[in-house]
Amino acid sequence: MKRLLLFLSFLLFAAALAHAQISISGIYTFEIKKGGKDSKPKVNKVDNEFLQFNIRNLQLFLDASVADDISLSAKLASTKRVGDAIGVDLELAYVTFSNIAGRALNISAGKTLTPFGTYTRRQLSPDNPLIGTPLFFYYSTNVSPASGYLDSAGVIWAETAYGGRLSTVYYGGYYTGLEVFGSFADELLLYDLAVMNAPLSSPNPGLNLDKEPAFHGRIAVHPAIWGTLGVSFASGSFLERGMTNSFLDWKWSVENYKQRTIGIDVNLNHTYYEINAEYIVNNFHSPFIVPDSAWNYKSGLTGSSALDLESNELLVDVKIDAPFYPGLYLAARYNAVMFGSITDPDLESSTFGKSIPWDRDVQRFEVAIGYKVARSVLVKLGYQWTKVDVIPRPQLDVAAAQVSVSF
Amino acid sequence: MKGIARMTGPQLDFSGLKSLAVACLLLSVTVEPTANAQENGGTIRGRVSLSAQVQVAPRAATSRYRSAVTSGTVKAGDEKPDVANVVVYLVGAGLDKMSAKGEVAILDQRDATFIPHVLPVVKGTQVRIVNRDKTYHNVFSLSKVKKFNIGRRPTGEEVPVEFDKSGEVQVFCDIHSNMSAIILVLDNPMFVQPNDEGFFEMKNIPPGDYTVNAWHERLNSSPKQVTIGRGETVTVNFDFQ
Repeated sequence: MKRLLLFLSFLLFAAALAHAQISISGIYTFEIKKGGKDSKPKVNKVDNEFLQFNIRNLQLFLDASVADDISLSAKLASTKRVGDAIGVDLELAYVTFSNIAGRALNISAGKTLTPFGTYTRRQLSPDNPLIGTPLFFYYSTNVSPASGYLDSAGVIWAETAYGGRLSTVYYGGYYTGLEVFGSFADELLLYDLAVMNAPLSSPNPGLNLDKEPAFHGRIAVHPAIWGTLGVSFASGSFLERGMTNSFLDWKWSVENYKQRTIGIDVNLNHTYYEINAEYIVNNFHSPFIVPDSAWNYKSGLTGSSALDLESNELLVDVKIDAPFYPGLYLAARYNAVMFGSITDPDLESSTFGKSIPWDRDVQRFEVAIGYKVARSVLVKLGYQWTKVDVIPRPQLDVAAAQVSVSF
Repeated sequence: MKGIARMTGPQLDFSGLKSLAVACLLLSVTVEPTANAQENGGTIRGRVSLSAQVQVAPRAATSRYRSAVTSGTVKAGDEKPDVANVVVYLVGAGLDKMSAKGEVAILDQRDATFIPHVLPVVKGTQVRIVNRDKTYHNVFSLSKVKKFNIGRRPTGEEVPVEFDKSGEVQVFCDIHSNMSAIILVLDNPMFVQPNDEGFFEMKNIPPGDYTVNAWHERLNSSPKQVTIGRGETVTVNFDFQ
């Protein structure tokens, strides 16, 4: 399927070539990193505790202006496979109709970035002053798209028989749909609204073809050159029609279990300083299903009795350029995901009926020093401390060096 | 020859050049050649042609990533024809002594574009970098000739940067990756940029032997050797292949 998609995308661009100039650009990032002994990709993006040399990614951007105010854009990116194998994914592909009503109305259709929050738009290595990705983009929570809330019985981050775990925002932040965006009053007010085929936590519409579309959006005000304030929101069904969720059809269909997220973001910057902050409140309205040994419905909470799994998430990062040493900067980021409480629904648990957090709080502090060797070559050294609310404390700290080359 | 860009000693004739950018540029390269040069100088005139067309694909304005966040049209340059961004300049004994004291030039940022795209200045010139947009730009250069980073500056604020060494200084915006300019720092004030049709005229050149160079940011041309006599006019044409 992916190969077919890639092939079709190249055909699309070949067709566009006949009418338009294409600009091709890219970013290559190599990294050396070492994580603590409890490292896991879905927790700190490190495979294990050994020193690792990685091609973090090779990203290729294709832009074609096919007509006045109509353009086609795509992004191909390397993806790590097993061992040293590297695959290629089509991460973005969209057509944009610009200036339909001046700057007030533009429309994109295709696989594009979610308008939710601001980090998705500054995730590329040259725009991300640190070495890591914010937790809410990949930190695996105690929710599975195949079965909802997982009773992990003390085993955190483990893959389960029910499939993977969801992060608040799908890594990379790309989804397929229709996006309307623009600005009013000389960019005093900006809006970006999208109908996507996946909720914020999942990019995987293939398993949910019959569900309702998801909505993603952001409205922002830019009252002064030095500041922007935005409000984001997203809502969509997050459960797949998996084996476990077939139980739900006769109780309350999967479409009724929504992920609802709201966030505020602030950007302040002046001369050599920049601060970005995002605060997110996320809710998975999730069933809790316990099958018996023959994989039949045994017990659980569904429908209006389902769990409200809430989390509060914070991201603050600061970047300071060195005014007297052009190209040099220092950056720091504090990042936390704090989970709300539920009444333990597991009949077999020692905490059944008691108030428990539905997952373990996690906090991360990260610092980095970066230097632009040339306009298109950025070298970063960074260290991140991660604290998970588990005893004994897992060793998840990471030291890393990265070099990014834009071309 | 309509609208020839001329360098005429203490004053410059920029009739026919419409853009404010070029006006700013030409005002900025006002020079003070010696009195002798003004009285007995020669002239070099000619035409620059670009046989090799530089195709720069316009970057789509719809990038979802921060480095190109504008929703409007992104311009590839300052809308001057490419030939008007050529710089014709002289190299020769004695020219380096010509004064460039107190020279000031302006490099604007307007509609997420540097204006002018190519700014020739004499060594020692102070370039004032001004943001005319309502959004921030972060102008910097990591060129060996001059490294600087002026940070994010509000609309209308002028930030002076002095250029003490000759050579090419590539200037970028850290926020808008499509923005670029080149400040060409020259050893003497004997330079001129062609008009939109490629014609140029350089006056008040002290008699002597010189090398005439034509510089383009991506193309090459061969230097020409000329001898200028008192009151003499020499024609030199350049063709960028």
